Amino acid sequence: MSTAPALLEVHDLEVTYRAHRRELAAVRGVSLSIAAGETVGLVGESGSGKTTIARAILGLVAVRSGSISLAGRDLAGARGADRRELSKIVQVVFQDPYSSLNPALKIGATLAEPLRALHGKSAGEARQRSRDLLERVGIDAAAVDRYPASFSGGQRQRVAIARALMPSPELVLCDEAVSALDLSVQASVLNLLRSLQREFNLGYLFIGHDLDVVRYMSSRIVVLYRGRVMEHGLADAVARRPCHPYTQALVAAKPGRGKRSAAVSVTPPAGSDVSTPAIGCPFEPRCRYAIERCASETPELQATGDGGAAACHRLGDIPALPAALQTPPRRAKSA
Amino acid sequence: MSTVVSPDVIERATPPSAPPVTPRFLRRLIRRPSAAISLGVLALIVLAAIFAPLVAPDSPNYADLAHPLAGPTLAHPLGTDQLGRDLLSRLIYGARPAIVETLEVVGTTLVLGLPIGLMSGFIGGWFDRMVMQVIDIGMAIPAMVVILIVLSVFSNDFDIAMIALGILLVPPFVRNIRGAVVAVRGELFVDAARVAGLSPPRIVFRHVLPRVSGPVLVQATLLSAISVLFTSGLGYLGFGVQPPNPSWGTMVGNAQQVINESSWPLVAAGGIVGITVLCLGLLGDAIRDVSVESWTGPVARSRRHSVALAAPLDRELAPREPNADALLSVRGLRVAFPRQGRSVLVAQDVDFDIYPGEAVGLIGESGCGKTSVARAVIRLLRGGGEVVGGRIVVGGRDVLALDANELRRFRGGEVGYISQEPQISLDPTFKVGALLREAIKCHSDMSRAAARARAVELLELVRLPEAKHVLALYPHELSGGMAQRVALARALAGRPRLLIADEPTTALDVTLQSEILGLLRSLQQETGMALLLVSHDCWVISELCQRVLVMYAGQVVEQAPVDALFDRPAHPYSERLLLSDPGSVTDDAQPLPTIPGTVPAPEDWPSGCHFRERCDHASAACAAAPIPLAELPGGRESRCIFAHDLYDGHSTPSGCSTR
Repeated sequence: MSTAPALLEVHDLEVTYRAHRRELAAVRGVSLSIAAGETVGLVGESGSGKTTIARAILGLVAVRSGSISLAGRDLAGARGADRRELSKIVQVVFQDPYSSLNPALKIGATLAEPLRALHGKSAGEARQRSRDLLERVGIDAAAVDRYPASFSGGQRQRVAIARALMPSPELVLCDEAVSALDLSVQASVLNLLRSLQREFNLGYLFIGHDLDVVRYMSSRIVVLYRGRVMEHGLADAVARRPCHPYTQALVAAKPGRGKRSAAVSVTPPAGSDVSTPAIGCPFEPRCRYAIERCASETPELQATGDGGAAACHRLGDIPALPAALQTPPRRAKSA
Repeated sequence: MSTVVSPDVIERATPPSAPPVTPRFLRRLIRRPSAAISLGVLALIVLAAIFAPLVAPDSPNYADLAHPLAGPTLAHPLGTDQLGRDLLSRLIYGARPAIVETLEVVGTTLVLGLPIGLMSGFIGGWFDRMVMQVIDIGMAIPAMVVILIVLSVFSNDFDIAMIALGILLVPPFVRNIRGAVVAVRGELFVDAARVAGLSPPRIVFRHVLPRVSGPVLVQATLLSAISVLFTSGLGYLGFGVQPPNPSWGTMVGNAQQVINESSWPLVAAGGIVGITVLCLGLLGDAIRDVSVESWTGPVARSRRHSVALAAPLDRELAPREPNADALLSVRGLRVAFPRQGRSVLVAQDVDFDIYPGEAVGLIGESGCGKTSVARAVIRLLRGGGEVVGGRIVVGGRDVLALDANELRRFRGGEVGYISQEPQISLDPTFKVGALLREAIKCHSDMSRAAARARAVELLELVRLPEAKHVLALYPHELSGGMAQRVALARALAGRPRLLIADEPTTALDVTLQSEILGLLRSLQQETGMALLLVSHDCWVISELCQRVLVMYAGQVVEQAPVDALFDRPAHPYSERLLLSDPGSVTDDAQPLPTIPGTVPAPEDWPSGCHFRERCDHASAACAAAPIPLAELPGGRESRCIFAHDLYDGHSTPSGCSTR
């Protein structure tokens, strides 16, 4: 874990949804922390609860138990005006740039919104800041008078980033922020996010399903499966030397030349997708290393070195991923 | 959750070239002939009613007893009724109560229904459930009976009756508005507004209300039409305005009494009611279209477009002959789509071959035309797209010359197709078994039992365990991975020699993706079919394919064996595209290499090389003429005049090379 005082501290978070009169656990006992200016990656497949964690931090879903504190202030319990006050500190960039901008409002009106609602700035001040920030994210300042329809997906995502920066937040949640973008557009948005981070000392919670993208952006990675943390650690360590069988499957599943996808098979049992047992390891039904204990006892996180940890009963027995399936080594990130 | 929205899907949902300027709503409305005429007629009726004493030729109650039941004359433009009263004047004066009553009804419904609908949809939860329960009960109340009771209780007070009618119309109105609000509430921009710190009432007024204003207006016109019909009915029954004063309903009643002597009064009285209701309906229709248009661009009309092309065409490159050895041979393919009344090329001079049993990847970013090319091969272009040039030959047969019958056997029989959204491609009203049997019987005459056995065999082929159990499931009961397997089984029913898979794994999680890719590979080995894999993901293509086609702005810009392409791309676009993948960087501290600018829209393709405006190597020669595919050693081609230099000049491998 990093030594700097945490900007965001999530502890033992539980979020449940009600569906068909049943309680479904979306997030179960997740803890994570982000220091100022740091990027933490959150990886998982659909249903892993990564978006729910972001929505809980934003106050868009109710927290069942656990705590979320932001710059030392409790976020989980904040309501109404208090909650809105915290919006100055945490902002979000959503996945779908087409749905996240109101098509009926001009870009300028969308951007000015948080500033006017949170800081009580005048229309003139808000407009000036909108123009400045648009220029900063690489959009012509004249865009304030245009509608979202006249912009491409990549440009809209830049506008969404500008909107997130309007109230000068300290933490930005990037919820699959580049997943809908084409490769070359994605690259330029990733570069933009990194340079903005340096400029404004932003903390990022970078949520994604593509391990390569998340690894490139993050200093640490948290791997989620069915609402539980499977493994966390330094980005390079998790991507290169995954310890948990699920992380290994995730790394091995990345297609590539000469790879034979079936090498690590994780066939889910047909038709049993919705319910996850309340006890035991959630990955147990798909895990090739599963033993009886995995179904009856929920594994705790155990240290894996470098400050990382993995939740697996058989941590010591799991062989390293064959070299052919590993992510190739990188040069270390500069701090 | 983390369903990946592919760029292709998004681009299709909202054309990026939607008109940026949005002239005022009313002006756009009037530009539609039906709306302009309806608005004109309705305005005429309202104005005539307001200025009735000035425009009516006669007093409405003046009886010209000398001319009862006269036809249209100069003195009586619409003729007279049985008492010799001027029908036109009576219609004009009769419009007054009709307008007042309509305003009472619609006003009541809007004042009560709009807040309820907005709150119910936006707040949701128990409040919503309670409202909907009440609404359901309200919908079951017979309006006419209640109004008759109200009229008798309140001694024929018509204003109270109209307010009661307005209240009775609240339930269906609330239902509609609530539905529209629920759809808007799910949009991310509403979440973004919450995160921006807006209070719920401000979110409703700023973000939700403008989005539902279209449905509200449409509902208001429909309510008006209902109200006109309803009050006319009441008038006909003798309620409301009392004789001798005119109302449209009483006029219909009067006309009905003399129907045997003259039908003319009924034509006039019934006509005005009919025309008013028709105009209100047409107006509502136009409002719906225009309100959608303001944020998505004009609604596509099915009208056939002119074949005149928007941009001046590049001089056509001399088409090459189809390759007789290939299973699929495409030459000089051009595909055009209608866009804003013009026809725009989205694929141009596309040449490629696929040999029997070969797996070929088609890679490119969204808007580059790869899906258009794939769908053109099976002649399944959507949205009015059509092949406007070139040849497609499969197994020696010209696909573009097939008639409807041959085409039906060709699709699925020669060439199978699976798309990105397996759930959508399976008809939700049929069970998996029925879907498969249908596909099987399409290609061979089989008994029901034999078809069922073959269906089980197909499901086993795509490695679905418990095949018999799966046959009895509906598509919505399948998970994403299972649905794609079923779609695959259906595509294989006719034993095609070529399978086109359009982003088959883009909507799936990475572990499922890896299973589907593995399945595609082993199916290819078992059946010997060829594969055209369309994807934006170079890793997917590199795992499965032997050869790769790179598309950019409607053209194939490079064609090469997979290793050769990823090790030494010979087109500047392929090179830059592969480099921008975070999976291929070697130093995480460095910014990712990017390509300046964006993929041009088909209308904006530059002359000559389509990539030249974003290319480091571009020179004057690149703009002068269309660039042909240059042949390079190793059976590869590149659409670049510097291809030979690039190819020779590579010192280090780049792109998806390290896995």
